[in-house]
Amino acid sequence: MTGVPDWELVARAQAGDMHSFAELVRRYQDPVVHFCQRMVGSVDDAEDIAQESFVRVYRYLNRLRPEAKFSTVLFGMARNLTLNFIRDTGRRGRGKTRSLTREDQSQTVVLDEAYRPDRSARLSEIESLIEQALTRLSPEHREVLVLREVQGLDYETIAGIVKCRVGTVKSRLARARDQLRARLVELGGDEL
Amino acid sequence: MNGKRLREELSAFLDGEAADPDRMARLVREDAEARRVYDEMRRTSAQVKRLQPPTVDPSFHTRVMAGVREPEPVGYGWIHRALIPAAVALTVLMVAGLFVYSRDAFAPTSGPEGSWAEMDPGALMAALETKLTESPEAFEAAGIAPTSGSFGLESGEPSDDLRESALDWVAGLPVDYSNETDLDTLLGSLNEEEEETLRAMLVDYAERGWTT
Repeated sequence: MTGVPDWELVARAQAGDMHSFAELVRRYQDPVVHFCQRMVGSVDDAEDIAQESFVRVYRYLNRLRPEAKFSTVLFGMARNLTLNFIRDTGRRGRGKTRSLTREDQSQTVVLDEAYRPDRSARLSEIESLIEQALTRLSPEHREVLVLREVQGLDYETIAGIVKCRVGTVKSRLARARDQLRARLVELGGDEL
Repeated sequence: MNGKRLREELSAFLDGEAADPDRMARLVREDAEARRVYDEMRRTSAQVKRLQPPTVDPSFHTRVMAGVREPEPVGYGWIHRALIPAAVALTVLMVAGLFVYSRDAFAPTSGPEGSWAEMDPGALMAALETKLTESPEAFEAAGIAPTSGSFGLESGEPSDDLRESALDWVAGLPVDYSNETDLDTLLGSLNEEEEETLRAMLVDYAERGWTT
């Protein structure tokens, strides 16, 4: 089923073929979880949100029409759920969204504001700096940056996912890059 | 190109989405500041692209497929989906009802055009006085005005007798005010402002029970 186009799999799933939907999940689970993780921070939360995204898309399956890419529909759903999560956890406090890796893993990134990494161990530390800087962006800047840089999507697809004009994506991305740069400087990564 | 626009275009150029890539390439090549900003963006972008994806839990796929096989929660179907549109429709109906009620409750029983006698003669006469003071020639132009001298306007200031003179002037007009055709002819010969002023005078007459 590897070479079957997304919408063909959707059509088969609409006809009741669960294997086709299972293939869609297999095809998109990594990028969707990655997108969610960059948006909410924790891998556990990201997996929960990604799972809910697939389930909801499945429930809407019979109403889906191949007017856009399937990935746009799926990422659009994931995006809505991550924004709900961020809004809800924002009300309850942001602790959970600050954990950047799986909560049961030992290598949780240090998020001390005064953290200044040793320049001799730059590679992994640069990654943690970028992760920290990303979490400090507003959701609307973070989402376009992640969709572009991490997922490699074009402006039109991003516009479809975040439901705005291509021109808005363009300006938001430029602003997001400026903001990311500023956050990196704040975190001591100004030589990046 | 201002700074904000330049950064947007450089950012789009970096993504291969610039409107005019040749121009941007030339700019990056020839302009030191543009090149600095572009290099900075490119470095940061490369770092973000290098972020490692998380390792998705091996049970993730199984969990998703178990989730889609679960029956939809009760109330999640058409009732749930219809709830929001129904609430919106109800709110719209309530607001519309309130609007209609308030419009009927507070609207005047008739508009100012409904009856001259219902208009405020004091305010209208004041408008007449202003009009006559400022531009008596407007009435002259309509061929129905007296000379300004008859209103005592030589000095440019309204005299104490202005109001009375104005009323006398209207009384002297060769118009049968009980005849709608005459009135229409008279009003039709005036511009909007003059008509408004004359109406004011006639209202005043009506208030006094004056007839020709």
